[in-house]
Amino acid sequence: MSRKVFEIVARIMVVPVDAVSLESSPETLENWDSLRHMKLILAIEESLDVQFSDDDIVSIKNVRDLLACVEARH
Amino acid sequence: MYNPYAVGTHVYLRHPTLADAEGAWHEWLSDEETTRWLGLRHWPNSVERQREFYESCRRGEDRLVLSIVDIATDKHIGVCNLSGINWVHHYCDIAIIVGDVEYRKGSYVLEAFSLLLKIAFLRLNMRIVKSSFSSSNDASQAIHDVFRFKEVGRLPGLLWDRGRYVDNVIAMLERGDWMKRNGLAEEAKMLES
Repeated sequence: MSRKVFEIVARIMVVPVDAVSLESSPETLENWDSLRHMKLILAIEESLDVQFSDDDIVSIKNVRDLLACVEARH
Repeated sequence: MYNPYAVGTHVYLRHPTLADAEGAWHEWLSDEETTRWLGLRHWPNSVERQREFYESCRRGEDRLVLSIVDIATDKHIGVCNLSGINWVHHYCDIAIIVGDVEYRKGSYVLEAFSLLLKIAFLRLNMRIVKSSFSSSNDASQAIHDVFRFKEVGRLPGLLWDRGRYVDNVIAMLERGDWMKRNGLAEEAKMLES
């Protein structure tokens, strides 16, 4: 699951997969602006067939949070 | 925090103050990039106009205007509102501006939007929250998609955006759908029955 999430993060943020880690966030990836943040949430929901709650959505600050939300909803 | 009305993890919402009106707020509404997507804000703004707006916020019950404040610094970073509140049919319009560019990264806007939806549906008993935005505004489209608004119509070519006419997208979110997605399915069922 984490590999798939990393690949989606890399695609949306337009960076190599190797550049993505659990700590990747708007602070560490220059491309991670608010628009890409929202596109990332939408891409994860669509690609992995999960649906986040509002609380999930606002809790996502980095890839670690994102992965935790995916695993909790999958 | 000063006079919080709704509190999130990183931001809280409160009634605007005169200091907000006389601070950065009036400048946000003169900025070309910030006002690009606003229907009625193409004239330069001023402290005086912002004070008038602030005074108007204190009257009437068809519009709830709230300042968005960063909890860590207590800095006023934006404004959001529920307008056109209809207390008979229980619907309203939603809008948000994060004026401080430093806070446009990350999830500040999502958190403020989420708090405002919670206020609309659970505190003010709104049944439907609707919204309209320019079809060329990718950020607006994305935030409405993230919170599962449904596009219900378009006014073709209504809006002028930097040299071309673009559609005005009309979207809405029903309380029942919002509640089901947020762990309140039982309560939603009771409201439907």
